[in-house]
Amino acid sequence: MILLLQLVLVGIMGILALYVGRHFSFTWNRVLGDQRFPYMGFGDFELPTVTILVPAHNEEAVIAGSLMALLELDYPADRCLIVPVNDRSRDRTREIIDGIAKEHPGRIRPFHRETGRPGKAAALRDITPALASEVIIVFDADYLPVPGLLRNLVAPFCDPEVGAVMGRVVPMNVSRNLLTRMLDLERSGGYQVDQQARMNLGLIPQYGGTVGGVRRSALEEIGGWDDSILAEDTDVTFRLYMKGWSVVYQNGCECYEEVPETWKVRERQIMRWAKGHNHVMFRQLGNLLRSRMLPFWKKLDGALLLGIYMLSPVTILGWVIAVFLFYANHNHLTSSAVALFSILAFSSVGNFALFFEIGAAVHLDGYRNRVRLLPLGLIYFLVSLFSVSRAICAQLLIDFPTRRKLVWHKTARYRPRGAS
Amino acid sequence: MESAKSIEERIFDPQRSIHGVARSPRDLAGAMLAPLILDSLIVGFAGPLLGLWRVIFQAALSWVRLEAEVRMETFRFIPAWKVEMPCIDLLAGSPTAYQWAWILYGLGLAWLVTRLIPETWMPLRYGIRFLCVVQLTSVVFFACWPGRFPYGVGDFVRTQVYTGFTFLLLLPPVYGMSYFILDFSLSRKLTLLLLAVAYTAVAAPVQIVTCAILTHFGSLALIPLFYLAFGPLVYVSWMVAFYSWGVSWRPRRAAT
Repeated sequence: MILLLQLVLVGIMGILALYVGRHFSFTWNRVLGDQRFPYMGFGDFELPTVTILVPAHNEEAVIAGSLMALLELDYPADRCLIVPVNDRSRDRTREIIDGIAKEHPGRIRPFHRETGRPGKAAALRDITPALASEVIIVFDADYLPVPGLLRNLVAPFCDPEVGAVMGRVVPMNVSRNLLTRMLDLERSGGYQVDQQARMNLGLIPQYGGTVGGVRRSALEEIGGWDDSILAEDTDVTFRLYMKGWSVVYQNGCECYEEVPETWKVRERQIMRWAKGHNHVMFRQLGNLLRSRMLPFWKKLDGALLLGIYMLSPVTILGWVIAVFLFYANHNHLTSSAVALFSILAFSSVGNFALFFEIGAAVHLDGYRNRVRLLPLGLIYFLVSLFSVSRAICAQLLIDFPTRRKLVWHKTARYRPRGAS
Repeated sequence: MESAKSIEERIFDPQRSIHGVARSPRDLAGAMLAPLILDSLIVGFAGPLLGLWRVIFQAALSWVRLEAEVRMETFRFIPAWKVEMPCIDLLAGSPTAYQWAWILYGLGLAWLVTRLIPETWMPLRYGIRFLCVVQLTSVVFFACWPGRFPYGVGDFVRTQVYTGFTFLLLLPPVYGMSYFILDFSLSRKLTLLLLAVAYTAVAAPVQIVTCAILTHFGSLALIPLFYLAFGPLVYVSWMVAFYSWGVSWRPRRAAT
């Protein structure tokens, strides 16, 4: 029994060490390696026709701002159509959308959805067949794109092998409180280092469901949006890769979002992400590993990416085993110390980004003061660790056995209601 | 409401998407050699360093007027290397019923307090509950198997000294891989590394002897909490704190 637990603990340490190595590699690559920006500065190409989808469910606080920012995009009006997808809103969202559409005829075509399966994926699935453009760009309703964003975002689609593109998400309400500052650190690490490194190394940069887009023909080839999945972005990413398409990350394409300002909202958000991401993992991991379209390193990175949220319950399991061995195993106190040290050393650094990654990202971004908050990541990490583990336990023990449908809950908005 | 343009002007730096770190052979050599040299120094001066830890143990014990022997034990750190590490012969017993009850009441009170912590302080709530759960394992163990706790204060100190010294050796290569690759002058990098090592060299034994003394007065029931929650976790926190402080310093030159 003791031996079995020790073997499991060693296995867990091995998994954590693999992720440590992965994130160290990304940091080194981003800081020291050759950077890939293959589509930067593309100016002389025929701009594809674009439909910008803005899924909106009860977004009266923010939808006007988003639509106005989209109308300011530097993109030929005859090649760009904005389609706000009003998904069963019960507030003034519909009224606001219709009002703005009326003021800008031909630029905005509202799509109002009153019935059907709830959720962003279902809304996207419903509207997509009606679209004729070459490229579909998706923005969440609270996002504020800057005028030059769209041209840079669609540039990779001049490469016929590109199936999807993703830009960088930057919090705009960073200064609000400690949580928003910590989330900004997390976003920095995730985009400035993690995504860019994966782009550099030819691994799996991910389409993130917003500030990104998909080639319509590629989407059709993989069967469209899957409305049974919460994390439709992760799902599309992997299905595209397995069909031979590539996903491009554009680090310079920044768009601004609101991050959660309260811990409760943050908890719900990360629990939703964990469940959705894991759902894709259970569906696609086997397909990914069997895929003949992808080389070994892409499969490995894809598998590690899919398993990223499982690290939380695995870490807790490691702690529990280490505690048990501590009480039961007199002669192996030292080995337990080392094991626990390894687990805690990784565990102290964040949900799925080593603090080195975040530190390097913030160094590259130039935010010298904010990086001093990094030690607080330990406590911040505890919230993520237990929230994610709780969500995954509920998913495995309740959702899957009872086939409970995963329900999408929108993140709270903080802009004053009615602001435009 | 702030417009996208205004936000862009406030946040966006067009160069940061392509920022890298100018690297020279000297920088890379520094990243590899400096940690190696410092580790060699730590190994070379392990005797005096651990002797300092012994002095710190003795000073702390005499400050609280505890008569306990601090002796040096030979420890095979790696197969080829024996090190003399300080160990404290301090007695601590299993918790009495009174102590056990007080620990349990304290846990209950702490858990109740977490329910009163406002949502703004949610991480504190999780942190306290984490510590409560760790301590609860000890309460349960001593309730069910009171005489079978396999460790004494000496074992605890021995392990913590080993862990602390291991951590001290790990600091230079970890900083070499993470901080030395960033765009700071070599002098700043060395300064940060030396400060972190010096701090750990002093703070680790202080932490160890403090936990040992508290265990002596509070019973063996406190060892799990000190070992599981206040050992390596604290060391890593220091490492992160120094690292983040170092990253906040002014970089050497404009990045390319």
